Amino acid sequence: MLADRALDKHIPEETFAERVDEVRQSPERRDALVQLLPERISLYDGRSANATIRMRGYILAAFEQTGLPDAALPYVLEELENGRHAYLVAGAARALRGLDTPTSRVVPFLFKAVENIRYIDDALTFESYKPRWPITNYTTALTEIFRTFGWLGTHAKSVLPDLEAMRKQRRDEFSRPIRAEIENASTVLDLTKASLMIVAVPFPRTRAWWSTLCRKSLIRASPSARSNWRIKRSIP
Amino acid sequence: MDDSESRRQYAEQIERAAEQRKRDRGVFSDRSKPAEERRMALQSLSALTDEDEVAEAIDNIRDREEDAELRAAALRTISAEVGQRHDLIDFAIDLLRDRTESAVVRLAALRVLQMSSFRVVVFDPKRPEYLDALRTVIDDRNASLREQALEILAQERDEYAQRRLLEGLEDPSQALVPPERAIQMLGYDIHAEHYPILREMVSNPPSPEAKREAVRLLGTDPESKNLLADILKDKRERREVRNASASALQSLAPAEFEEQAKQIVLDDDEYPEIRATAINALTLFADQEALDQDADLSRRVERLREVSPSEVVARTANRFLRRQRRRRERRNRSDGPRGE
Repeated sequence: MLADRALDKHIPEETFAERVDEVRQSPERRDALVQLLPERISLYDGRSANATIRMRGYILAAFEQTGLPDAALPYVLEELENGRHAYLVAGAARALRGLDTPTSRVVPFLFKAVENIRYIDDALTFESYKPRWPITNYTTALTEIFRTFGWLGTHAKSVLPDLEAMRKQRRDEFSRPIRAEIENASTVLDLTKASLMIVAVPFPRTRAWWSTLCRKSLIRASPSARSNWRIKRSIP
Repeated sequence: MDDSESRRQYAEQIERAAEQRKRDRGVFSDRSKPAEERRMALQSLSALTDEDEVAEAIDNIRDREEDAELRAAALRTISAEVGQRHDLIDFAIDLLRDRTESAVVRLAALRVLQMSSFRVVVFDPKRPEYLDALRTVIDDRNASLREQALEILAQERDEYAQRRLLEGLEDPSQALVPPERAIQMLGYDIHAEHYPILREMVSNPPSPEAKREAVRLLGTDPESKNLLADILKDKRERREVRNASASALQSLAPAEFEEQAKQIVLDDDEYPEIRATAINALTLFADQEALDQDADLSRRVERLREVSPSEVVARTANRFLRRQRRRRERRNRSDGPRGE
């Protein structure tokens, strides 16, 4: 495993990627990945700037599946706050979705990342290490950021007006696919907000009202928003 | 000529230009005319910005029955408009991606997209799609399209482009462009850490051009200092490679280069071009105070100016001595008996 065997500057990137993939399958070993996040360790000695970005971005994205340990959070937030490489920022945005519980405290970092990356976003994928083009279903840093907003659900409800502003007043600053992601995030947050309101609605009106609301909202939402909502709905 | 006359002439010129434009537009619109004539008319129009004109140009570009050169010309004439509209950027990206489309049209689309990419406010939201299309195109059958797409990505220091270029250098069967071009493109990023493969390439070059480019690029690699010095010393080496090593060593280790350059100037068996490069570098970049103390070197350069059969050596030697003389004159003036 990562911790057992030396991962230094001599290790081929492919071997490194295999080890990260192994940890993905065994999330209990995720702490070993945290040790590989500092840029100044020997693993990155003599590697190109692009190779270092590739390796660190791949680790960050893996936290979505393994869960994000507390020790990795500073690295994730650092990339969101100051990162200027789409691959790393996308990885960091994904990593947040590995948090045990969503928290509103990451929201300012996500907004900072939107501003940092919107002019230098890129097509990328975490499906494989060193992917080869053409890629059928690429993602982007902005896509991952807005998906994370949606994942935060109720913890990001305060950002709804900002997302609406991005979708309407600032629409020219975002491409059509990104506007769709913003819309998806808004829809999920909207539904989450509605689900909080339900508590205040007296039974028996609740169920009928609620099902109508959901039906209307989901018809408007895109497939990925619907799938996000299905995940959300399973959260009590 | 009074003001009213010049205003009248100016108005006439504008009117004539408008009439000519109308005629050119008519020729372009007339599909019964030969494609060549319509293309010439388009070129005279230079840019189409009016909504109807742009729509007509797009109709022509979309029509695969039309002449490919005409469609490419139509695309170029709406390039200003492409840079302002997301839908037209999408349209150009689709043309670029489309492998069934004519290479001329795809090259025009690439050029138009490249120009539009400078209009950051409108274009940057489309950047992921653009980069995705470029990365797809680098494997295209058309060598020109492939090379131009790679060049744009390499200038962006794109990770995928660098990876593919390095793969091509390691395994020539995977090469997208000739090795010397690949090396040039990798050179856009000084943090690409491709030095090990470049050093390997210098020892075992696929072509003389590739070796020259590799040597040139190693000028930013401190670990290659001895390698470059050895190449510069090696009289069996090709002259352009030695010249490249001289420039590289000069930027990497100026003191070491200066010492070697002096040896080259003093060596009568040395090639004239290499000697000229050495004299030139000493003239422009060496420690001038130290040079002026080196009487042996000055005598040798004077001799070269007088007797060298090579015009380029005589000329650079003359320049060296002229500068040296000026420095001495300046020194004499400042050391002169000011108080007397």
